Amino acid sequence: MKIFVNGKEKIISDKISSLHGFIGIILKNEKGKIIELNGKVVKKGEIEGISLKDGDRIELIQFMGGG
Amino acid sequence: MQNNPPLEIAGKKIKNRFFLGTGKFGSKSEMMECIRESEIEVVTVAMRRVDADAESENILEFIPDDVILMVNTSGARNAGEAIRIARLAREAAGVDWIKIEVINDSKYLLPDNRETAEAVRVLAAEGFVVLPYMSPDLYAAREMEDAGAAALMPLGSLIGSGEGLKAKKFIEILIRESSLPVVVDAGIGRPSQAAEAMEMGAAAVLANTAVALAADPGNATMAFSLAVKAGRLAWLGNMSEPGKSASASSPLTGFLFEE
Repeated sequence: MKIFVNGKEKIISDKISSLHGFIGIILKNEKGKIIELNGKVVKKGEIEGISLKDGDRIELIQFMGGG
Repeated sequence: MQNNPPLEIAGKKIKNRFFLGTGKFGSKSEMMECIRESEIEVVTVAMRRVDADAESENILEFIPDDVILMVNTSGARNAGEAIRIARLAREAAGVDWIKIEVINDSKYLLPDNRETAEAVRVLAAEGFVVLPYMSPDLYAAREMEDAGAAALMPLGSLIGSGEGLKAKKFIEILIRESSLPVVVDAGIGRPSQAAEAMEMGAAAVLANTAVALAADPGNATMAFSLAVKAGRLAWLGNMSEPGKSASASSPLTGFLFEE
C-alpha cells in the first residue's frame, strides 16, 4: 500500500495494517512526537484502534528549540 | 523605594522581562540550566517535522512547568500555515501562547506584516494569546492591535545579526503610540542593547542566538536578565535626557579657594 509520511511517498507491506505498528517501526522513540493522520491530530490512546489504508497522509511533528 | 510592577500579558504576571528563545543551544540540559539559574519566565519553541533517522530528545521535558511556553510559527510562509501550526500546538500540547512568525524572504528573514496580521485576527478570535513578530511599522501595529494581538514584537534588527536596535526610531514610535506591550525581538546581540531597548520603554526583550551561541550561555542569560531589569528600572526612574553641555553634579558655590 502507498502512504505519505511527512510529504514523502512510502510503499509499505500490506502486513503493516495499523498506524501504531507503523509508527513503532519508523520512530525510535515516540515520546513527545505528535502524529497527524490526514490533517487530524491522533490523540493519545486513540492510536491503537486506527488501521492504515492506501493514500493515508501521516505527519510526524515535534517541538524543537527555536526563537 | 523601588517600584517595579510585573509585565501583564493575558492575565499572567511576568517579573523577568527577558524572554529566551530555545534554539541553537549546545545541549538541552544547558538550556534548562540557563532557564533555571536566571529564573526565565517566558520561552519560545518551534515545531518541525520529525527526522525519523535522527534520535532527538523532547525539548518540553527540559522546560520547567511554571515557565510560559510560547510556540513560534517559524517555517510558516503565509497566514494559513501559521494558523495551522498554532492549532497543532494547542491540540498537541495545550499551548495557547503563539508568536506569529510569517517569513517569505530567505535573504533578510523579514516578517510579512500583512500575512501576520491576518493570522493574528483568526487566532485571537479562537482565544489564542497572540504576539506578532513584525517589522516596526505604525500602521501594521494598529492593524495587529485591532486584530486582537496581546503584545507587539518588533524586530530590533535582522534575525541573528546581533546588530542591536537598528530600528530604534520606529520601535520608539510603536512604544509611544500603541497601548500594547512592546517586546523587542530579533537582532539583540548584547545585554547593553537589551538595556537600551528597555530604557526607551520596551516592555520586554527576547533573545536567542546571542545567548545560545555564547561560550558561556549561563552567564550570558544572566547578563541579559540583569540588563533588561536595569533598563526597566532606568525607564521607571524617568532619567533626564543626556544634554549637549556639562551640568555640574556638585554645588557651584562655596569653593574653597574663592577670593
